Amino acid sequence: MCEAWNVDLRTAAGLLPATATVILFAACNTNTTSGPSPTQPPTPSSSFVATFGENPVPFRSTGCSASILQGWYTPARLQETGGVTFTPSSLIQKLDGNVASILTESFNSRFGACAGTPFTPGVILANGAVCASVGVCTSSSFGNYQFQITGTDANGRALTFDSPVLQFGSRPGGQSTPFSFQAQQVFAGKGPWRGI
Amino acid sequence: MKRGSCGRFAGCIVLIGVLACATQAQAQRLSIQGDRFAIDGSPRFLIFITYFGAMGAPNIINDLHVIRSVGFDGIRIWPNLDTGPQLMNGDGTLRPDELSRLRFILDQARLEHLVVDVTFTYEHIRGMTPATARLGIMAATDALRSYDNLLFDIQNERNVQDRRFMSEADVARIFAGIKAVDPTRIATCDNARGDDEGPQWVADFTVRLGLDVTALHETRRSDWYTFPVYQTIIRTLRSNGRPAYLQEPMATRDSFFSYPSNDRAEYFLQAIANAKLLGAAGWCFHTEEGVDFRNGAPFLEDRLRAHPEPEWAFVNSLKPRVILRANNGVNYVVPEGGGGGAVRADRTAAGPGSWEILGVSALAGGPLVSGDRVAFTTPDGVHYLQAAGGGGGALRAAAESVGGWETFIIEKVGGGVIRHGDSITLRANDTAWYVVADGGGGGNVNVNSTSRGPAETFTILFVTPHSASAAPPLPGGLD
Repeated sequence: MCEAWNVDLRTAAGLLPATATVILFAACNTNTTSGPSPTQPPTPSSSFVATFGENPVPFRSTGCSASILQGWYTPARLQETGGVTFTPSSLIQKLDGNVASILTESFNSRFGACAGTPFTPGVILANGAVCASVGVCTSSSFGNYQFQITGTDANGRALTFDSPVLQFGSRPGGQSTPFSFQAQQVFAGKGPWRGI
Repeated sequence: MKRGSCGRFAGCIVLIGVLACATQAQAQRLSIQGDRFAIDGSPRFLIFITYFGAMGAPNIINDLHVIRSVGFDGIRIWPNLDTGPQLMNGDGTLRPDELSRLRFILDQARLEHLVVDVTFTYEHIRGMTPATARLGIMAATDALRSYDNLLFDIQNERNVQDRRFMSEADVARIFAGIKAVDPTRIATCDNARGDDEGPQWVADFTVRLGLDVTALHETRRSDWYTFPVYQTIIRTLRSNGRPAYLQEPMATRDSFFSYPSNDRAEYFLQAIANAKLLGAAGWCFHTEEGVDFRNGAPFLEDRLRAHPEPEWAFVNSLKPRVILRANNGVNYVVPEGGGGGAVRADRTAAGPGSWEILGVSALAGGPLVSGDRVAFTTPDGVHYLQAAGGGGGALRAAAESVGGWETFIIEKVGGGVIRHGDSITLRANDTAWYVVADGGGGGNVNVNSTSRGPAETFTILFVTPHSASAAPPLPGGLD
């Protein structure tokens, strides 16, 4: 289950083709170890394509998290394209280029399965993908977001990948809301039993 | 699109046949254990909703599914009510089509695992007397013998000096008649304004007539929902050793009368929590929305939605969803990937999404009370939190059903109702193992601590409607 797609699937699907940012990270660009021998085929390593549902992402006054309703958030998908399974060991989330202590989370508590895609907890399968809702729920102002994952691929290479920068749309004036914990309605829409 | 309807029961014959087969495998049995109701042998605090107009409701299947889905355990129906088809003739015989209609309702209720309080109202049947009411109720007892998810109420508010009145002697005769036909049928008879008469009077009435359950209709004073009021009532009712069933507490609204303290869910949330805390066996959400379906929205769901307060807010409180905040005040417990694997305590308030929101239910029913055995569902809707190995290891979210390993005892210092913002601990079932957020949060979550300190303490935050007021803990606490 990917929570990001659940948040606003139709919006994300509609905007994805037009706004998705696709960045291919070649492992050789981030791997500082020596290159392959001229007489041996290069050892494949994990590579990724990261996409956001929207970029820039608008500020929204509701729906960000249960405890902070407003913020910038959008679905993210991390697709492994190198054909090598990857085991993440850490996740760093940045706001305006700085490590965000308010977003200190593990990779596995932020990223999970993409709908309809094979998933094994704790790893990104070769040619597989993981999904998340990313951004920040806040009453403060920020300009952009980026995540970075570190880990080891199945061929033993220690790798670090930086996502593209997710730009935040400007927040309309007067929308800053103090921290609040508001009750939500369980059945926000018509119940599924209506189809009976 | 035209909505499906079984309101015209001739069209439901095939469906009834299907349900009759299906329900055999899903039947649940209502019984009494001491002064508690029990479902399939396990004591449970039962939450009912008034659905008097069931016989005339055009969308029984939908309505009962909604009622069950939002968290009610049962319905209270009046099969003789004059807003729809009536079960009985004045001479006490049963009307065949209407009996089929009632059976359809009961079959569907059984399919949904709902208990049904079948309350009779002889005043609604032209020409019926207490004597013919006895014949009718005995006939109904025989006709409904196969249903073990029912209780009978012989007469609604039998002590009111109008056409509802039924003497104690008549009630006693009818109760004896029920037991003669079906000794296992649970039966009671209620009185109006029971707390005004005095709860002791109601408790004594139950004992005097040998009834199985004490059913109370409240006076509906302004402080009806408070702990002291319920404490007096429920302790007195329970003194007779029978289940105390708060069958008609405050009404959410009324066509004829104006009542205080009934316009917000808060009153009802406090009432139901106090009722469970004080040991009541059952409590009914008394809304007029399910009484008359001749006019207005045909679906109960729409009727409840039409009133954000108190109806819809209360309905949405019955299946609480919560967040467990670790002791560091920063991190939330989160099933990785929304469920199916490990559990950590490193989700943040600033992180978007909802994987930290857990469903929680008291296995013995009702609102959360310190000492309850509870189970947590994960946001993927599939899994339950689990103490791996029953305790002594990791907290996982890989189970797909509730057993011993998925059962936790929720406790707070001083006991009482579990409310938004309370500090709580979770212990694995009958073990000494507490759930602990390593380092007080920011890392793994295990069930391997035998002490109850800061790292084992979580703040529970409700994201569904919840009561804000704190009832006083019971003297001496519960733990």
